[in-house]
Amino acid sequence: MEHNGKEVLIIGGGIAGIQASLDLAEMGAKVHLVEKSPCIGGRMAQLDKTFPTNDCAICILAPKLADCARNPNITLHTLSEVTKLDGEVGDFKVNILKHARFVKEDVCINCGDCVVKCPTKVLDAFDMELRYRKAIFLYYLQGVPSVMAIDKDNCLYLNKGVCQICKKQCQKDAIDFDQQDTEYELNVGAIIVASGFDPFDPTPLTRLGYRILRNVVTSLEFERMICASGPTQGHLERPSDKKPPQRIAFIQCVGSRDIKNNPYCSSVCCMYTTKEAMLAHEHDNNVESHIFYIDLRAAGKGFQKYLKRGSTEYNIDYIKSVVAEIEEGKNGNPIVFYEDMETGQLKSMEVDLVVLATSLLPRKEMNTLAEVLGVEQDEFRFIKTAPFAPLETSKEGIFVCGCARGPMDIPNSVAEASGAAAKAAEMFMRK
Amino acid sequence: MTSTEVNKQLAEISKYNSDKELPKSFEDLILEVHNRGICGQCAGCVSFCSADQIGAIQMREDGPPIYVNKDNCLSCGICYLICPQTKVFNSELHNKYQFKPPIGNWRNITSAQATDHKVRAIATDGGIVTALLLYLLDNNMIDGAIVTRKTDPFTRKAVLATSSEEIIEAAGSKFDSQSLTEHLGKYTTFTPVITSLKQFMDADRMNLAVVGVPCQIHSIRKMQELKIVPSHVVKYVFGLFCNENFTLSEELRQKMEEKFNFSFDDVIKMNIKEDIIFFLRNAEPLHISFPEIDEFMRPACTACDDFSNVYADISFGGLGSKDHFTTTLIRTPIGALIYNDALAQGYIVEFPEDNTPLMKSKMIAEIISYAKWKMKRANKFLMNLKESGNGE
Repeated sequence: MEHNGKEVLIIGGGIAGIQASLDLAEMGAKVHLVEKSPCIGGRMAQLDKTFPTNDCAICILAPKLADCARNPNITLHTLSEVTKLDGEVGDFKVNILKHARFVKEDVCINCGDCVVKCPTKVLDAFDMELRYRKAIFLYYLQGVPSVMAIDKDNCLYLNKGVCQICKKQCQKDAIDFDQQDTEYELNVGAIIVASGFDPFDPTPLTRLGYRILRNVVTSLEFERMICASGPTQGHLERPSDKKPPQRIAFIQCVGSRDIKNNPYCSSVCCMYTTKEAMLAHEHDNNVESHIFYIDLRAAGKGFQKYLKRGSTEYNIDYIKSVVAEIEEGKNGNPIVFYEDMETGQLKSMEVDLVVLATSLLPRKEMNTLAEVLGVEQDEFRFIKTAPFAPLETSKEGIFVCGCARGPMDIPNSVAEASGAAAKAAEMFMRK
Repeated sequence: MTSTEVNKQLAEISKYNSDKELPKSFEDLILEVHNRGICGQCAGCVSFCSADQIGAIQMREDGPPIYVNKDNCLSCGICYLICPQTKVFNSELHNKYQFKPPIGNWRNITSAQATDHKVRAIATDGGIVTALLLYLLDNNMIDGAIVTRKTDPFTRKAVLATSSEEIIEAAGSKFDSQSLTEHLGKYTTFTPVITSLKQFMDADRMNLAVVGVPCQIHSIRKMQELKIVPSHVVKYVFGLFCNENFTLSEELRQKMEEKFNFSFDDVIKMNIKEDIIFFLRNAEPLHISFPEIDEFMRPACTACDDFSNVYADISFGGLGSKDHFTTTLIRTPIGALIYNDALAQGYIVEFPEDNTPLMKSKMIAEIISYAKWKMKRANKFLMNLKESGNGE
């Protein structure tokens, strides 16, 4: 076999990792795409639409997922993580820990017979815990590889020794309870980190009432609530009484530009909130949205026009303000108390639903990953890069793209992914 | 058949037998629970089996559940785990609900009544269960409640009540009724509440409250601990104090009438507090103590050691309160939350004189003494079972 310089490891199967994989595979490299979840797709798969075009997110993503699965140059390592790294650029030795799926990936045909009969219902993390899934499950409808996985924390057989109903139902004999976690080594020339982000958890900001007041949700929860494949089939209903909200308050900079939490700007919230307000209005033309913002940031291509469309065509009211507190009034209606920064007045507004525009954080496993890889992090735990070499980490041969490097939108993540792929390709194009 | 094939088959068979420890199946339930006469007919096993569309077992009019289609049985062993009588993972439940003998964990006890006189007039004791259900429904915290409703004079059926009217109707009894019916069902006559749950298997977004006796609540809590359908839709669990239930066949009714010298035709109302009270037309109320009525109770109840409904969010009963008040034992944080909110919103009312520290400790003392008595009865029963060789 020729020198391993032609094999590349990509960590993270979101839109950035997928784009980098497809680019490199196209260039003839052998790509190993490592994803922690049962399926690739990442955060973009959870979104309903994307700004500034309001294209359906999964419609853009799904063909790329399928391309990854079909491309002979790409090997998917799902339910996997990187546990050890040795060697140097051109000759990295990477330890992969692949967790047991308990379903044979090459046998399961995703028919769903097992899911129907599985007795266990647990809250679905992909749907932001807004609905139940079974203990044997497809991570999400369009997920790739489109095979089931068994949640070993909740499976009755793996925990209590009873059931095995899925195994009895499966006509393909695809269930394998004897599967073990396996560890193996890959030899690669370069590595791209595309591990993405976690949304900020606003629970500690009790003044905003998240998890205290019934009708306060986060933006990612809202995204699932309004998505046609989401828990309500896209019918926008507020949690307390399942009524369609007519008046929605969006609170900006939750966990961003806040010295107690994250001082940085998450850069995408002004735009995704505008998108979410537009979607709410498209679902029901009577919806009025009020966006409580500190500064409106619309620095991308076509973004200013997007905001303008929001206020002129979609009944969005942008209020420059600082929100102090949210309380619950009658009928579970949240009341937003805020200072209007145009007038300096203290005001309040009763709404049907509050959406918190939560900031973007590095994945919670970021510190472990950075330590394993031996790359430096910045003060906010994102991967550190130099201003004029934005895709290069502190270690030669390891590149970074997308939200692993800092908060950014989908077009930027895709651009960076292609950039990181090109940087990784330098390794073997030279030869 | 070659000798290797035979050996392989033998190995398979012995493997099955040695694996017999777990899972145990409905057959083991028949052996260990039904045949020993301790099935409480709580219907937990059936609710799961039908909710999961396995359909191997079903309830029958009287007696433990039976196989309806044995070929459908997947021997999954989940029914065995759900059964409150098998005692498997009781320790997990005890930890979760911080069980302390004899009456379990509790944070507050009150004597209260519904503020709505309409509710009070129709419901048992102070009508707190009904008032709390109305509070939950009015505040959109539930889509419905599984309660029991009279279908004919001697049968009560579990129904899903989704409106205030239905909840009140279920609570209610018509006082001029000719026969013993209403309160018997409310507190004693057994109803397979849990089988009604099965229809919610795919109605994931439903939030339900359930009102039940201890064995029913026990199996619902077991199902919740296992995270299995259909228990995930149950958000609020209301438990009734329970001494025992009665199976009142025609024959037993006659026997009872002879023994206590009354006619069921004259019963206008029945209640259970310190004893059983039949309110009779044109006569003084008839009080019957529990030992006197032992022979009429369902045999399985003698094996049950839970009087106060230890796994409920809130337990209720008349014991310890004066007439038209409900003794309310608040156990879980969620129970406290809804009780306090219902109090603040005026659905229920407490009077200070009934809720002094002294009154509260009296109520607790009464509950403890009944709980101990029931535990003792269960121990005695189980000891006898073992001695007579029916035990494990």
